[in-house]
Amino acid sequence: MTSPWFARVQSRRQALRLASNGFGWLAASSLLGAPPAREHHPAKAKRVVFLFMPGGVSHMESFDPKPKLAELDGKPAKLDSYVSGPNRKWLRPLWEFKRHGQCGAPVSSLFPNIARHIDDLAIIRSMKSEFPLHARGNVFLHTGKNVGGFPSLGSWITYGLGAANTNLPGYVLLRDAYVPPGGIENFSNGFLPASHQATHIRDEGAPVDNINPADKDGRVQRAKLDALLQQDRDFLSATGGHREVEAAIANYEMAYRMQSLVPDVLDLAKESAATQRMYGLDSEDKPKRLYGLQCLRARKLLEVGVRFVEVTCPNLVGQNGTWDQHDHLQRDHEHNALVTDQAIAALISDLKQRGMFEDTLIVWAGEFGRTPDTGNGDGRDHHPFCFSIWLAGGGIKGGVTHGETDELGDRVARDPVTIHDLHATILHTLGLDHERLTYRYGGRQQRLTDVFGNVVRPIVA
Amino acid sequence: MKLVRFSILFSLFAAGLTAQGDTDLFESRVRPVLARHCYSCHGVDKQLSGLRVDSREALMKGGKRGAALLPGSSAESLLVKAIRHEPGLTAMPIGSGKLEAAEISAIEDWVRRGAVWPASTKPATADWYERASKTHWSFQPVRNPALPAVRTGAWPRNEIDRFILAALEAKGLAPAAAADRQTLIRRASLVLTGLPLSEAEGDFNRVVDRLLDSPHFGEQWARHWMDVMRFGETRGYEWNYEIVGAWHYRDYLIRAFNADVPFDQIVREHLAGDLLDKPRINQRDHLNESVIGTTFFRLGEAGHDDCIKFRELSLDVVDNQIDTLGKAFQGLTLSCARCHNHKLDPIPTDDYYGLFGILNSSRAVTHTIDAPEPLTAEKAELRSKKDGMRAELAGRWTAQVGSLQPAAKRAAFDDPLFPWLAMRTTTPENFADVWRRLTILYKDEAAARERFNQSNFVPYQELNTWFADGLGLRAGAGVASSGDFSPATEGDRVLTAIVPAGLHTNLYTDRWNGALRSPLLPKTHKYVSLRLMGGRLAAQRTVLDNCAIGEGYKTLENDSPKWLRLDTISGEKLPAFAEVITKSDNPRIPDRPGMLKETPTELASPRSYFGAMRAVLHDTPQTPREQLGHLMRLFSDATPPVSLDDLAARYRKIAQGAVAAWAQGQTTDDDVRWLDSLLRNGLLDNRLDASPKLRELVTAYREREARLPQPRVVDGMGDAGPGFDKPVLITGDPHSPGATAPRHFLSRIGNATGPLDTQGSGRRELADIIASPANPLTARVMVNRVWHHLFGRGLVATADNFGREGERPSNPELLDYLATRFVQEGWSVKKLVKLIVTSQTFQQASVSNKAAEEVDPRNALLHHFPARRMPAESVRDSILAASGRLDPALYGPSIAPNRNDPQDYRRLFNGPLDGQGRRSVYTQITRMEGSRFLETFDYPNPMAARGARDVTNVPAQALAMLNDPFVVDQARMWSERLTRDGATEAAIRIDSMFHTALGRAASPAERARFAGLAAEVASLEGVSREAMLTSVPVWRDVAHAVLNLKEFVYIQ
Repeated sequence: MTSPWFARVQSRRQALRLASNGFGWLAASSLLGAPPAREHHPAKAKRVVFLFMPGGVSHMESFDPKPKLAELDGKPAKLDSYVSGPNRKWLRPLWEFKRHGQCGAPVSSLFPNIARHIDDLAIIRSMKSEFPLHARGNVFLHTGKNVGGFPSLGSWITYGLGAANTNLPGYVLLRDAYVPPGGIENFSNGFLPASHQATHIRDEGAPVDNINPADKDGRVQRAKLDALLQQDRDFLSATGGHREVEAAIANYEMAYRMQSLVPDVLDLAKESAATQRMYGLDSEDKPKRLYGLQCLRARKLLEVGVRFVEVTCPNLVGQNGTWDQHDHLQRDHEHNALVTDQAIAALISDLKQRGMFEDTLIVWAGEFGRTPDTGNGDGRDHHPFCFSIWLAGGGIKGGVTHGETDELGDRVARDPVTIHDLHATILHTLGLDHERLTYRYGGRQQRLTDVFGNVVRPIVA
Repeated sequence: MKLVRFSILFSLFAAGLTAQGDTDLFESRVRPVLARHCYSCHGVDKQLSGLRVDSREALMKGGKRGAALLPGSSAESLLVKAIRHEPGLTAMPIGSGKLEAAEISAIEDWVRRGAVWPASTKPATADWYERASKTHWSFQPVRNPALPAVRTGAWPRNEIDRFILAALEAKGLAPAAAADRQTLIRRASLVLTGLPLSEAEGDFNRVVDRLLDSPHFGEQWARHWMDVMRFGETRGYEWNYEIVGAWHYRDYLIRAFNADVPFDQIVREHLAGDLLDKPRINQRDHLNESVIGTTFFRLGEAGHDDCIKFRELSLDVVDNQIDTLGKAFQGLTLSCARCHNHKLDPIPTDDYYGLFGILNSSRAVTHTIDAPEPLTAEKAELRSKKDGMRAELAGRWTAQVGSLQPAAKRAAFDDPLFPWLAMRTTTPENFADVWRRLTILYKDEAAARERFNQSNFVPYQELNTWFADGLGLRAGAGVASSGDFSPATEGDRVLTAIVPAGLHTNLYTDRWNGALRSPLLPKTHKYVSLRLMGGRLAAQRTVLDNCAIGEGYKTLENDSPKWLRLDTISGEKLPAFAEVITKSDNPRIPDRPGMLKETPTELASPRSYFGAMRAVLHDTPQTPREQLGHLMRLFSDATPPVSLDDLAARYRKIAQGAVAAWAQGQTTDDDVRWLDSLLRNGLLDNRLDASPKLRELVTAYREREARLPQPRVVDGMGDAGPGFDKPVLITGDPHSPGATAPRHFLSRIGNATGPLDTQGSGRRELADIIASPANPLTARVMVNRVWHHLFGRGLVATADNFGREGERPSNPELLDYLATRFVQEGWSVKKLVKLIVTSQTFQQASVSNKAAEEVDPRNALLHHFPARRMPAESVRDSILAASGRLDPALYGPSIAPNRNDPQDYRRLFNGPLDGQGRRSVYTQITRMEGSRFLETFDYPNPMAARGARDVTNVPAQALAMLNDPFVVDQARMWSERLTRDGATEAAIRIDSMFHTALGRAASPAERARFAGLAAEVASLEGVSREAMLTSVPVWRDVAHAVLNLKEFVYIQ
């Protein structure tokens, strides 16, 4: 960190400390919008980790037992649904449920490790979305809108709270090579300033685009940067001190630092072998190792002050999201659970042992659930009418199960929770009032929850 | 802006309403009912009994009978009593019958819960709209202002400068000094062509002329317009289907801007290029340019969703079209009026749905963009070659059928050879009896089938009244009389089929395409069945409500005619049409993985064909039964056959008759049945090498066929049949239709009109309204876009919003002056660009002075030329230009971006690192994930019109320039050229690098600085002093540093 080039820019750093809120991923000088909102009420959570389960986890095989379906198994199914048809049959739950913890909430045998933390979880069984299609569902879950161009949850939160660590991005997305349906729009800053966009960190290869220096010899890069800085400073004076040029020069300083800082933050050398094992980094299953790696990175990023970390699931077989099992339900849900269950439980334990659990909100959710019936006997289809998610940590009551579905797991029977309600609740734990967190764009005070949303009080601590 | 529209369908499942629920209840179940049933008599227009019911206050105030609403008490609210039809009151609503029980209980519930009426939804009043229409600057006619007086009379070069200088002087400011020649030429080159010009001779005006004449001008300005058109080449969502021929649209724009096609013509072509009386024909490329304009409608996102189950989704496609149209041509946020009257601009929902009706009346179709040349000579030549083939074949067949012995492996009941197979094993003694019984069976069956067909099927529109497009169907190319045939264009057969009368795309070649589309299907029957033949991924389908890539096409796999059934989707009121299409006209192809069994080679083949004979409507699930008339030739003879030999002789005679008819060109469809069967069973020669003459004829035919043009196809909009009006959707909810909105454009802005006087969709009339000099917005918006691209900021900073939410012009008189002149000079973009670029305003230096900064920190008045970072394309193209890799070729299919994580099954293919050296405008724009390098520099995400890009300044850009393999690789390429230049000292080479990259010489200090860098790198890399000048790694590093200079990516 003490290169000659770096030492030289030190003198200018005060001047270059423009409106920056840090290190990368910064707002453009021309894009600085309205100042971020402050907390509207005392926050319980300071940061969020969103464990995104794309594709649609089967609710009746995870957190919402439906013994009735075992009785009806194989009988003709009549559902009022977009997939209804003459050849559909009820399908029994393929995994058994057991009660866990003091609260005694049932969890299926798919998630033995998450089940150990059941007393910390608030399960919502009465989630409902609007769209039985992945792209719409994903974009809706992330932005509260069904079309692209709007800011993602993580962008709204970094906009609302500002950065906790000015040297790090506020919103980090930990992903594999696969972009879920809906595309990059899911993680877009929309109309919010560019500093609120997600920084993508991939599980394999270079974690951040272009983060590995092209110059293998650091001295060569420094020599170039030396010449560049001199030349650019001359150019800056020739432009009469053009602010954008000045900021662009500053970006080279930041880029230079990022090359070493990002790998440093992600460096696993400081993690004990026990910790690495806990996350499953010793697994023989490659997707499981990679998911464990991303969960461990999530903790490290949260620890150094990233506001919002989202972790997507490795896409193993489904083409439209990890959990999208229209067929091979047994085989693939089982594998997906194997890949994710241990690392998620490890993340909870790890946050606890570091005293971070109380002020870190954990959200586990996908875009919809799966149908209680089957068209091919070997899978379930998309079901936005009801599904299960859970939250835990900062601002959330543990050991709570909220909402009910009917005996078939087909429709919400009590206490429906919409995606807007979920968003309102997430913001609430962070001390943000979803009706007051606004940004003026396109002639309106825009909100994450549009004109909808109610905080789900019963799960809020 | 639009609200998210959620279908009531889903929200009905909600129980336990909350405070927010009250609003939902009102918006979803109360207001729509009031609006639909009550507003017409108790609303803004009429207040019968003095009562209005379109606000809570009005309801509480009530009418002649007193308050109509007592919040909290449904029993005491007259509103509720009236809709319950309680005695003593007029039962409401009058005329349309009592409300549904669920509607009544929703209103009761709403009243009981306090009658929440969200404050933000007060009805917009006519007065307020009136005022906005009359006062907002951009809605007023364009004036032609007088040139203002200025004090510094020597400064202005042209009229623009008078306006700019006057505004500066009014603030006590002075313009900046003139830029030096080098800077100016580089600036002009970058903004006019997107590429840095290396050298220029002559005076500046001459340089500008050359830049305007450069073919790269069209590339640059096409790309600007593509931002506004949210140009993408795939449709996003789950499967990222390709937009058919999107790149043709890009090339169309390049040609149009290069040819300086008047902008009003471009507007007309975008909106109604398929409907113009005189389409613009490109003689060189044999293209109908005008029709390509309509591709703009189709460039947005679209899913493969079902239009019925998810109504909102297809409405979103139209909404995106309206949004783009409104912003692009009028600078208005029309789509704000989807759910409610526009809150800021005088655009009632009625206007939105009036436009919606225009677009919904048009069809989302593919257009064949080849010029409508009838190809008469080609067809005549091929026709005569076919006649030759027919004569030769007929001669051989006549000889063959003289000794014909019937034979078939198997045959269907309606096949002429079925009776032969049936009789073949009959013993001689039984023959007469079996034949008699077979005759009765066939005659009875023929009658039964006739009856069945007559009683169950209604003839539908003759196919020649359907809408036909494609080279194979145009200008009579597809009209076949009975016995015409489709030549085999490859393989060892002479012909693929002798066809019945009908429309066939492959009468000349199976490379010609075809699209045959029905009028809007009647809702009177459940099915329409078509008699079709075809193959090689030709398909048939019903298109509902323009869901162009909806699921459910069926490929044709039969070389003989067959009845095939399509659903009319009569249960839905939505418009539907049937279509039969060859592969290139099927927007679902290439389909997603697993949908088609064809190999990549088969998919890539240009061949595909179909023939269509008839259409019928019906309700029975069966299709018409094959009729047996052609077989009566066997059974209706006065003297029935008594032996198998007798029967064979009968077959010979009939075959001779059919062949003779064919030879004389007097074939009937019944003859065709016979010929088809004989051919299929190898009883007639169809081998290419049956005779040397035949081979010669076929070879000659195929040689000519190979030179026929290959059709070019794009997605576009087309009119077919009469247009229709749509209802306003209350709160944008497809399940809450309100009053009908007649097809019209804006009713309160500019050259507004009432309902359009048209039988068609109204797009033609819409084009005239928008492309009119009387439209106050069209010219202003375009002039401002041009200004924006030249200066980095428009006179109106919000380039896509000229409404009341948009910014006001920094120099309104100048804007109007330019708009007036633009129209006067024939909507010429090039003349406008030249006028601006040759102004003194444009030629100012980019250095500001402190005093001016204080008065006008945003430089809105242009007291200096605003320096700025280049757009993404210019960054990449400049790198290619510097390295020498730039391939200046124009046009053609796009090149996939280079990707870290290609996903072929979602059509996110990987492309070469250097994009083949082509300019960035040719990089394919794929939704879901685009070019990372370009997006790092604010290349827009193609979701909505984007007249002004974000300009971000983030470290990711520095990282890309420092570490992206593309940049490093280009530095290497540049170095490979440099190290061969024979330079004898570093300083000389550095000077030439500065010329290449920055368009100027290096100063002595700069030469020393970079020579120092070369020496330092050489020493770090262990390169000797002698070897340094030819060391590729050393000069790669120096080149890399130069590419990273801020000066390299800035327009000054």
